[in-house]
Amino acid sequence: MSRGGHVSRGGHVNGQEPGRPGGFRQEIGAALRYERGLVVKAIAALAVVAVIVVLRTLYFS
Amino acid sequence: MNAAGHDAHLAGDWLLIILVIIAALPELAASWQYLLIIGHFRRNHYRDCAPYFPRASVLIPAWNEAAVIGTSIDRLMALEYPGEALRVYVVDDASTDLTPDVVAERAARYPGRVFHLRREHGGQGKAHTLNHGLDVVLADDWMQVLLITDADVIFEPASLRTMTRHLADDRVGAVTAYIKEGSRPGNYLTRFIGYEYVTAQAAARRAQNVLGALACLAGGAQLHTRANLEALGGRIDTSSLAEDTITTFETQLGGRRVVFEPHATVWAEEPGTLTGLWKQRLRWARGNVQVTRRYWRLWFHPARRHGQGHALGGVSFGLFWFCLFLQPVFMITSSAALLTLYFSGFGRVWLAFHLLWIINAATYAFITCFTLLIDPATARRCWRQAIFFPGAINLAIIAYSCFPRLFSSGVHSVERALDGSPGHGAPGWLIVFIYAWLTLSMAVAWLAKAIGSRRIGRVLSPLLVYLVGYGSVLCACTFTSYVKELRRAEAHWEKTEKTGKAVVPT
Repeated sequence: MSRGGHVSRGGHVNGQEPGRPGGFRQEIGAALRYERGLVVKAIAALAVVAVIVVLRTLYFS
Repeated sequence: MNAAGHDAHLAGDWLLIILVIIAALPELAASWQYLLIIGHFRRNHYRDCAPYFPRASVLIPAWNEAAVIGTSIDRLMALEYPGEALRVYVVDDASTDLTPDVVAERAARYPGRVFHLRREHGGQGKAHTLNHGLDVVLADDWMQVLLITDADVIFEPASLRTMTRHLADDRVGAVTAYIKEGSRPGNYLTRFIGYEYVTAQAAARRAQNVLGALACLAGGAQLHTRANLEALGGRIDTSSLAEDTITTFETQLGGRRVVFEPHATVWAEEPGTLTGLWKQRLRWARGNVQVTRRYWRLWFHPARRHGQGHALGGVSFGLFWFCLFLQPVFMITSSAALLTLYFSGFGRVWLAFHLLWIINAATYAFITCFTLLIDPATARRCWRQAIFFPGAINLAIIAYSCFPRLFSSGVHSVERALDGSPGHGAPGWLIVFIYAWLTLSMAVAWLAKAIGSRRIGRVLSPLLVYLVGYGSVLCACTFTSYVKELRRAEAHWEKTEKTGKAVVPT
């Protein structure tokens, strides 16, 4: 199913990438960390909404 | 009125209340879309990626692009990608400026890597130009993957190799990148677009990755496998103004996955004038009407997913598509229902309005905060446009409906000034204005565009856009697209003017 970094059918496939030799795993790791960070950011954004709702309920209803 | 008549009247009133609340559907759908982003850290394609460097051809349609094409080619030649595995084909659509000279110079500078394909009779549009190039690159078997881009698009060095990784999985037919607005120094409009692109790409396409259904491969950065192109017949659809969306849908309908790679960044120059933006978005919106019609059997048929590897018929995807597509209809319906209820003396109209705008307020706070956090670099540049995205008047209505007591003294002062009689709530004229505003905002947005190219518009148009909101400009454009399609107005390709202002920020 996957070309998996080994089969190229004439293309260049190996464990290295130009520009950042050996950096493939680090880059994927960084991308995944960024995506996990978005969970925290979503929670922060929801917290802002919650604060507004609480303030509105307590002081302006 | 007899009992039956009373019941019918009451039912009518509640139907109108529902129509008012339905206007919150796009906001609720947008919130759902943003919540889906949370799932992207698990439901992504990174686990199936591998370093992969197939022989890549880049296809650039170009008509009078002398100002930008040279830089774009230079940036492509500097990509972190094996030089012998990368070729650039510029399809010159009978340009009348210096485009042929610039491309010829680059072909000489990068021998065997840059090719100039000339169409002597052009002007038929981007899809025809691309098909001319496709005929050439598919004629031999050198090309394994094809990157379709625009003449002004500037690729960051790692972008292509970041995209090709996904094609190591042969279930994937195409990959698209994150296009960012790159005009520098830019103006208020390009910053609105910059913020919009975070919502429409970095956010919405992550959610679509989670759903397993992508709405559109960005025209400026779509990478296809040869197998995918051949399965599509080796041609780009020329019957619609939304050839990118049709390519995207057909790829997925053919059982091949489409992936958005948010960490492959490319930069493009977007319109800096309302007139230019209107032309571009009207073309896109009319294309969306055509796509909606063409795939009418597909929408909201989740069962079609099974065995076909896509979720285009899913409820969530359909909801996102139609909430955007029908947003002007929701706005007009809501205004009409509010005004009908108000003039018929229905007591709970304020409650319905209140609920609608509290949903709007919560959505606005959540989406704005989250969007700014998704792309902090764009946030630093476009935060003012993020705040004013719904427009100053909508922000005032949000504040008024969420915190009415804060405004009560001010409203009463206005009321006394107007008719000298203090009341117990907002004056009638203000209520009517607020209830009608969702529809009025589109009319004012249209006015901003209409005067945009005149002398008075240079000052007034930006003010009006800040007043009504960038979102209303897009809705007015969508509404115009309905009218144009209903009237079967002539559809022709109008190229967005590029001046070479796009740069990759350092």
